[in-house]
Amino acid sequence: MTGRQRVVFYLLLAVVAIGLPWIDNSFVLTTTIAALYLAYQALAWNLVGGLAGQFSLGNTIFIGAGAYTSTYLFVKFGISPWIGIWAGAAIAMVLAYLIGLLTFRLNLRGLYFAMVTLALAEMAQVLVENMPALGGAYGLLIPVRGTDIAAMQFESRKVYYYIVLAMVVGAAALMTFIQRARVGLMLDGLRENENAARAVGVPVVRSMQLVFALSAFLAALGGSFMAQYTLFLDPKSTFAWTEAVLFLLPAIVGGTRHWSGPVIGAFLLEVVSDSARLAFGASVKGLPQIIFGIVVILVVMRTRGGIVEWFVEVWHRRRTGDPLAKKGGNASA
Amino acid sequence: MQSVIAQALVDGLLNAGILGLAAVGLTLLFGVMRVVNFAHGELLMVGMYISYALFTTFKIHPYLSVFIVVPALALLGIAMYRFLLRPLAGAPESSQLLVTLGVSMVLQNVVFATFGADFRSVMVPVSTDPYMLGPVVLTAARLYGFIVGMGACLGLYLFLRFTDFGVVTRAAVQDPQAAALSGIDVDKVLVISAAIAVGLLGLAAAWLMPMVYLSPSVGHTYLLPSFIIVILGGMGSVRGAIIGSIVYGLSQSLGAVVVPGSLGILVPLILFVVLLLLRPSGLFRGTV
Repeated sequence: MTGRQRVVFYLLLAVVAIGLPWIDNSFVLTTTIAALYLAYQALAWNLVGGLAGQFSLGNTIFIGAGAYTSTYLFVKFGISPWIGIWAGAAIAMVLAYLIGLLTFRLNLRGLYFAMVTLALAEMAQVLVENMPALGGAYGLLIPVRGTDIAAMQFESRKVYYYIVLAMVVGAAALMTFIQRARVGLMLDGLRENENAARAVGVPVVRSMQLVFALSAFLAALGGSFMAQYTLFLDPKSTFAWTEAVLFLLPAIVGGTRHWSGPVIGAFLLEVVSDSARLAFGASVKGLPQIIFGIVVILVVMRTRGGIVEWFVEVWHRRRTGDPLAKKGGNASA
Repeated sequence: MQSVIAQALVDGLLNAGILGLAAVGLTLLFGVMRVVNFAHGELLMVGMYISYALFTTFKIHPYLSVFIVVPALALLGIAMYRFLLRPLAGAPESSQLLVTLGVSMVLQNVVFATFGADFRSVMVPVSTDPYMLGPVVLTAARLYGFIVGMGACLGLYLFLRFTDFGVVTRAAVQDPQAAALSGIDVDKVLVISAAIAVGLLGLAAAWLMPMVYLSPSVGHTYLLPSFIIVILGGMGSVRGAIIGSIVYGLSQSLGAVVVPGSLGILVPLILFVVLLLLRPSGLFRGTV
């Protein structure tokens, strides 16, 4: 796209995104909020899972840290969630720093990192279940206040829509900023070849810890948002490993190299699962998950880096008529 | 208290038999094809549902169902290798991990759609027949599970260590190219390994049936423990998986007795994290 096309495209996208609540259809609004939240958490995961290439299965720890902190502060002390979410995000960053200290410094990568984070998420669930102050296994209920701005509660879903939309924009901007910053180049290097990157002086562990902490920060904000949106929170569904997997699927399906990957992946999965639900109703249980599974298998088998990259490749091939052409006519796509 | 500890020790040891069966399959898959199989727990679960369906429709005793469940799962393993894992040979580690993750989602939810989420169980005499060992009580099902599980694990170990096929397999693992050059059909080795690794889950499924409640999410209960065992023992090491399953089984049952509440579950997890930090390569190296 040329510069002007790009501006027009982003303007159109902004108009659609901002104007969507005027459709005034609660199903569309609810579905879009769900898709945006999925996109947001996928963007958060992508900082460490995509940019740093470390397959975290423990993002639920940070989502839970955010959700439980803001909820606990509000329920027990009446502290506004607007303050609580930052406390939760800070705690999540500290946790990410400590986990990073244990894992990255000791060279636990790939599968080992995935397994440690999975085990830690399981531990987090057991710990919360055994803490009466956090509601134990039953969880916490947030008292309903109607529309109360200080309590971050709104009767109209539209407000939640704009909040989560802003969060997605923020996360996408942060991802793009990291990619263009010095640390983005370092991450590219260490993802492709860690030893080579280290040899030329890339601070491998520090770069990983930075994006891990930022990923935790975003995940925690999202967790607090979700808790305020559903007004309920329990350890089993917060820390379930299926949740951790759910939030990385959009990035895998869409692509990890550009912010649009996780977003498009999230909308695709949401649309697919909702149409399946509408078409077959409740008669086929688990159908959305079956389709998710098949989509994941197909994307991994058929494309190299998710749908966005595949689409860009096909588009360039068609435009140039060269079956081997890639973006920009070189191998950098 | 002493008898409680003794009971926990015996329980832990007995659990290790079945856990070991799941773990040796996982470690074999990793050893021979560098595949991290996230569908392992779900394949076990599918085996258990086949065994359950055979029991409810034809009244086949779960132990006899192995003659159907093991071949069925071995075929599933071969299909998974042929259509999903072989085409991804040479792709990054995460691709294969994600494909098996996709398979696990599909399997779990296909079973969910077919059987629903209700808990099911098979009651046969071995489920409750008690054996007394001093103050310790053990049901026949657990004892048989241990004997069969450990027996099969040791059998696999000896098979890989002392038979010609074992030598060929280890060669294919160490250096696939050199093995192919010396006339070894590496692809055949991988097919057979996939069949053995997943087939062993059929054995585990049949012997688990009389002693557990079955639901579509039961696979996850075995996934993390199997991974922990495999990493504890050293990835790819069958011997390590056997020792690892005993360590895991004991830490799990002792943890449940010694630590109050459901916090006991933390014991094997903490043990895992600490061991991983101290010795990331696991207890053993090598293929067997």
